[in-house]
Amino acid sequence: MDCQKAKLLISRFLDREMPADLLRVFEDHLASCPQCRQEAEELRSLLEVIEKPAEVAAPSRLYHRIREQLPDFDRTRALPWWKPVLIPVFATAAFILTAFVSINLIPRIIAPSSNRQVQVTSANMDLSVFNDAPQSSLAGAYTRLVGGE
Amino acid sequence: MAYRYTGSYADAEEISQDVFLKVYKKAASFRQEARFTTWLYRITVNTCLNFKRRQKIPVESLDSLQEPGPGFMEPAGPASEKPEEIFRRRKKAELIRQALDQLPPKQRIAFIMSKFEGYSYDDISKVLGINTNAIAALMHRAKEQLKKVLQPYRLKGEL
Repeated sequence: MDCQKAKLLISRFLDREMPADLLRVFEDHLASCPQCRQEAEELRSLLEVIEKPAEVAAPSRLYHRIREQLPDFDRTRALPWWKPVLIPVFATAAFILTAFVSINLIPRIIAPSSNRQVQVTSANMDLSVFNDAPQSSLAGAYTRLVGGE
Repeated sequence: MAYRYTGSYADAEEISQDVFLKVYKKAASFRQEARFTTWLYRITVNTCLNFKRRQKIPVESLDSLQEPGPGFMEPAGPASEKPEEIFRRRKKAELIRQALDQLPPKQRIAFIMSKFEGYSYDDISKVLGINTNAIAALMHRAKEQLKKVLQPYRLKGEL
């Protein structure tokens, strides 16, 4: 390998992009040629000076500028046709269900003792037919128990 | 990439915006044959190559004053850096930016991708659509040009 060809390969050698078949020949030339060796060393040290510039983060305004320019950037258009219809329907149904539960079930949960009293009262009324039952009988004992005796 | 290519924060923003819009519009045409990054770089490189600088004198918009970026490429220094060291580092960065600016567009792209972004000649060849021997030639000429411009500053101890 002559110096003219070797000089063309210095850049490739420094970038570790030398084809394997050329590498050995080039290194042999470099070992025997002080001029090419010096040239390679000069270029290597110069490239070391050219540092990688700092990473720069994209500013937040860039995101907004891009978003503004995107065609059809309308979320409702991206949804299937039935979604804008079903969403309000489900929301209304959920509201009605919540209202129903609030009106009917929550008072029962909050005041369970009064409900029990209602049931007991109705039980008393239903069991009034056993008022004449003998006190020693099961029915008599039950009516006494319910009556709070 | 756009910032390293232009050396201008405002120009890099404009290029980035164009790139993202192109990616959005062309997403359907992306074929799985190439890696996404290669495809993205190809769009970025083409946008950079087609980008024409509006003016030589930088004009700062009110937006850029509110959210300033670095004026030119400079590696970050340590927190305890002295003022003269900051000045020296910035001067060095400016000399390098000017030297890069003098490179023809394709040489600049190849050099940035290889030196700063760590891409192989093979990857760069896929992005630029030329073979690896042509990339090697671009790199050789880019380094020769940088050496020609920067070596005098090195000899004077300014770099």
